[in-house]
Amino acid sequence: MTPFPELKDEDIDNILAYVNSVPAPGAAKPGADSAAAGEVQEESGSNSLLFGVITLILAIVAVILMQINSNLNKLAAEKEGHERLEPVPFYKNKAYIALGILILFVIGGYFTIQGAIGLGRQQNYMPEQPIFYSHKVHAGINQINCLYCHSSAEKSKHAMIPSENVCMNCHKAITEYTGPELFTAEGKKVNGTAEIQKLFDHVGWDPKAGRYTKPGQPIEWTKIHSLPDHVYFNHSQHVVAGKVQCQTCHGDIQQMDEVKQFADLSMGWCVNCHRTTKVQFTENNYYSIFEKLHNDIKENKIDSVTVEMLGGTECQKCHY
Amino acid sequence: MEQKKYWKGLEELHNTAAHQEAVKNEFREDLPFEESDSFLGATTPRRDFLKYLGFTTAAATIAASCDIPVKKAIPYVNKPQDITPGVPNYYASAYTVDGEYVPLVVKTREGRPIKVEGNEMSTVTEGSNTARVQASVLGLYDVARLRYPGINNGPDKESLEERVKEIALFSELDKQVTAAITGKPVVLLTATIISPTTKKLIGEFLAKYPGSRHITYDAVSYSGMLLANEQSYGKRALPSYHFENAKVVVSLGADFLGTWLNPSEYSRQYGKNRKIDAKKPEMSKHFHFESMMSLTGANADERYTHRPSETGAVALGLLAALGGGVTAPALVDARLKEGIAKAAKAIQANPGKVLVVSGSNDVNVQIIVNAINNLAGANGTTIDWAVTSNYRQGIDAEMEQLVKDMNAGSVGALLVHGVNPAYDYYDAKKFVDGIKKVGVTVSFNDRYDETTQYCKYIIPDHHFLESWGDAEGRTGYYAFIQPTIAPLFKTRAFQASLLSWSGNTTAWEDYLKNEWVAKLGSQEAWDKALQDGVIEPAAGAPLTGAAFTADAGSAATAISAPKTGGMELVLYEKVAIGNGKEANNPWLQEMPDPITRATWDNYACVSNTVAKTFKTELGDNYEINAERRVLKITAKGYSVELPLMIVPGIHPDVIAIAVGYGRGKKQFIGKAAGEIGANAYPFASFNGQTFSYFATDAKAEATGRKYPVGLTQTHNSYEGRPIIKETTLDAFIKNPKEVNHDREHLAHYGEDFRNDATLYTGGTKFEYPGIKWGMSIDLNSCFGCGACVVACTAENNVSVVGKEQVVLAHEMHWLRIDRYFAGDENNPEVVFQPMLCQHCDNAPCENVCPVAATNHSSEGLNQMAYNRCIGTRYCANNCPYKVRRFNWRDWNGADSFEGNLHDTADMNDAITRMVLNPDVVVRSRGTMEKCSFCVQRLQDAKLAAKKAGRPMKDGEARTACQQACATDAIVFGNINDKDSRIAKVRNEEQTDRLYYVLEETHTLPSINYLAKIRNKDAAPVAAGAHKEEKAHH
Repeated sequence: MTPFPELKDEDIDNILAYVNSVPAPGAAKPGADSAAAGEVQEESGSNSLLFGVITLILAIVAVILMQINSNLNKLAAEKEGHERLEPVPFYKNKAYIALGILILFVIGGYFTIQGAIGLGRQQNYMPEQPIFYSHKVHAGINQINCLYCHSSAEKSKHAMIPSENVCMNCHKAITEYTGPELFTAEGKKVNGTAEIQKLFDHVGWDPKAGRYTKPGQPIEWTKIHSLPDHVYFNHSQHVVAGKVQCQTCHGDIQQMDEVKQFADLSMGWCVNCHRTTKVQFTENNYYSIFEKLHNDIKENKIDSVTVEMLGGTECQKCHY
Repeated sequence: MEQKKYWKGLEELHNTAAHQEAVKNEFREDLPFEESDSFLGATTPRRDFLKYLGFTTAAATIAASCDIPVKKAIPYVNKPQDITPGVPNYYASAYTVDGEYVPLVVKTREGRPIKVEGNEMSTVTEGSNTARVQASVLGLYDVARLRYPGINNGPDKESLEERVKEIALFSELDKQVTAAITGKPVVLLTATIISPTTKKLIGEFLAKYPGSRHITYDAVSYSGMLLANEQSYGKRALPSYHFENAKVVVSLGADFLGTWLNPSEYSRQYGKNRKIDAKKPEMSKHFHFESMMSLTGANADERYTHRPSETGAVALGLLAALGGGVTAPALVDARLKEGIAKAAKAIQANPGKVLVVSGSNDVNVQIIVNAINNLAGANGTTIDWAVTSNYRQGIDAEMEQLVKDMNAGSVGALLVHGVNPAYDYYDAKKFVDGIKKVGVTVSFNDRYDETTQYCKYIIPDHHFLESWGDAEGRTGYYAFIQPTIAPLFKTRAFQASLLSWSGNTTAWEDYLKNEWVAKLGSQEAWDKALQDGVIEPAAGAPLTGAAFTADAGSAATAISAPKTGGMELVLYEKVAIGNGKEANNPWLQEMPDPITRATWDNYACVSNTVAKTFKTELGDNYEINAERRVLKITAKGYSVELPLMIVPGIHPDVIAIAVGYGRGKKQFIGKAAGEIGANAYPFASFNGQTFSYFATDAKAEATGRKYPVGLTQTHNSYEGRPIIKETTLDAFIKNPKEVNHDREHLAHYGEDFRNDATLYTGGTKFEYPGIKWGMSIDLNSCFGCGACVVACTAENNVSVVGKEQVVLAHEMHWLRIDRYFAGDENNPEVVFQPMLCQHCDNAPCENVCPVAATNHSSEGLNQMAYNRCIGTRYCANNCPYKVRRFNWRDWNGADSFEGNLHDTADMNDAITRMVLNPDVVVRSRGTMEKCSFCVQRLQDAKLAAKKAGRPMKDGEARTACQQACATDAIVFGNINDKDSRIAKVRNEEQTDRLYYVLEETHTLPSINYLAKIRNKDAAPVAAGAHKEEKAHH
């Protein structure tokens, strides 16, 4: 995002005011600018539908008019006695064919590009895991703090799937499942105790003997949240410095038996959040170097500072 | 002040037609398409159309049909406490190859060493290191390393697997070897070992086998110094040098900034006296006498050349001029004589502040040098004999004796560790004949090299990053080596073998630990020593001299008279390649040589005057064209064929050839070093006492063949625009403002050049609300050693392209060190200028990118978003600094399409790729890339501060080049922070020398340079240069 440092805040305010002052085109309701964000979105949806209908009607009218025109031309020619060739049917008419191709090209292009942009994205991805591990049971019902298992989220770019020794901290004592019944997404019933046994099999624990009897094997979880290699993402930055809740990006994970990808993890999604999220500007002393913004807050020009205002939407904050 | 004319090579000096043609083209080659006015006008429009159509359809189909692969996330079963994936760990270690002593800190990620930095706790090196040290981490992942121990089936078989029969158990090998060597006198042949514990162990081992001995063999020997010191001071040792105390440094061919003994230590020391304090401007004066053009010579204030056979005469001349009571042989060259007189005068004017060093391996020359130092009062001021250095210990006569004994069949067993005499001994054939007569041979070398192929038992040693060890660089100054990764291959510590064969069942790491726990008193102290990486004596011990007892007179008579006629040949070590042991390192091979700017080869360096006499029809485009005429060089009955390289500043009667090339087959030595260049070691000889590395009566003749050399000198031209500023110390003291007088012209543009000099009314106000990164590079303390280049390569996953691609100007270095000559082409002055992305605030590249893939950040970074780049290369075309590099090929396997990979040096083996920095993406074909100011490090430093809730401290964010620089020539930081080093340099300390390259173009770079200052009498100015410059604008 190219910053426009030459624009003063008041300039930006003026631009925003101007942008907002232009009434929405089409059948805009009066007072649209005071509408809440959700309403605006809905409204733009109905607008596009309206435009679509109008375009369609106009197109039909145009076609009818063209037909009339051609028929009239034909009649006029006959009247004047000119010899005319048999008119080509519309499906052989080059103009129609060209028009048809153009429309197909636009529609096809739109879907191709949408598809290409969506390549590699996997919102709502919910693979079957080697062990039916329920976040609902652990984080929801039993209220285990996310960071107990995902302790790296505070230290590292990776939140990390916990190593098996972390599981065994509790599961040395908890060998059977006694909670509410568990079901897979397909509705199949899951035997919780058998799933715990799968952990023991991996880690080599003999619950009866109460000791490790075999060398442990790692569990091959299927990775759900994947970012492309050209994106740098750091959990600790968001968790510690940004104080972002896990659920903001991962959804209501404490309600999920099987984890599914909540956000599409697209760049647009990241950037939108950076545009609106406020940083811990006054609380975190790191930001003390931003003198001008602190003055603006003091002078009540702004009330908070977003990630974007500190350059959080620039390319090389995430791509290097 | 007149603007000097700088030239990168003779083509630029003489402005040949080929040069003019070359500078016109930003990119050396045409696009791989036919050029025609219109698509339909092309000769094969239909075929081209089908080609493009086919490719795009296929590409789209493949891209659209690719499923998202299912990825696995596999956590630890039991996570090690000190490893957090994503967070680097740092371990202290040390680089001790061939006796160099560089304490290190090794950065590991997920258990893989990926970068080494100097250990700043060491007072010997103070964190400095060299290009070779920086590249050593890649050596760990060298795929040509031997992967298992075994028994050699001899050199008749084709593949390595057939040649070395694996022995699964070390115990089995131990049984066989001990049975074979029992009762025999063993000879242990090693390179210089500076590990005290290993030495103790060697002593114990030798005692088990009566009649055994340990011979130290240095491929490039310093025994002349050792023996001279024994005669002069009664100690067969090297003193510790203190260049930082020397006001006058005289080097007689010692390349102490590049290859001599322990260059990282000496560059650091020497650099301290090359920095200019604007309030009290002073600096050391450096005289250099040499035959070829070395890195150190290039940095000298006064440089003189002589024939190699005149080395003794020059030393004697200097001693005589100082009143040393010797008669010096007459020298012909008037300039050289004048230089000796000047140096003598400077020495006499600065008693006790002088250091004279010599690169000669001749005992008598070194005795004369000792006498000079003694007269100059260097002992106890710049030379410390209380603390000696252990950097080299080989005595050549012992090696000579060994080869004789081997040929006589009197050596029962030979154990070879870290040496390769079958390649680098001057009479390798005799050594090979001898080794065939030795009953039992064992090699601990890391690869199946020239010597190992004749050894029966092969037990490869660990790489140092996999090893336990200690090092005593100077007496009482210890560094410790700990493993930073479990051994990649089935290798075993050399010491473990010795322990086992001397009947000691202790493991080597326990042996080492026991030794040190006993010395230090406790386990805690040992743990601390490992953590710090160094133990040093208390500071403040005074430097101590020693009584000079040698007879300079008899040494003087023993020095042979200089030759006068014919060509002479001198061998030298390249800064990157050294003696050739670490030659199979693509980073080092691709690092342009500081002087010749050539990569991947050795060559015959000659002066321009001599080059013309070889009847090779050099032609106008010789410097531009990669194709070099091949010369056949003969001396001492040995001849090699090497491409001719014209090096300004080399003595006219001298041919210089680098050692370290001409290694064996690629499949055994490695793809980077194998079968490249020619071996120059056979030109060396034994003079009865020591090896000598020059030859007289050399002949050179043209062969009519041509051979391409990957030379980066002529890539990227500034077309004569002034980008270097320099002055002399005297002139600077007289008028500090003068060096920057042309900046006054900028005042024409208004009160404030930054804001006023623009076409846009009202000026462009750039606001950097929090941080504004900036860098300052001091041309005075940059010696061009190239450590930063390799550090940048390691940190930023910069691709290795291979020689053929360097020839096409496709090298990928984000940071290059431009080398400029100025003045007389036979005795030029040299300037080094590191050139990297200037992160312009008004960047010409940003404006022209059609997709905004390169743009500006609010911290002043010129950002490059690789995944957005579509490869128009317009930005590179528009960059006045020529720092953008385009990925012409897929060097890293980063492309979506398989089979595009272009890898000539095993850089994409699964093992080699472990060296990649996981925080930096590898770039795919068709994208532009360039220096990012190590943005990953900046982000990391900011994040650490953010997480701790405090402002970032100055010095927390350091670029890789800055950290690698031995002399701190690079200062980097936040300019908005008024207390930062960079702000102080710019605003207070160096305001007179500070300038920006091509400032008048109003690109507003974030990197400033500090003008170079030479400590010489007068700067020769090329007449008319100034006018020419003016005409240019």
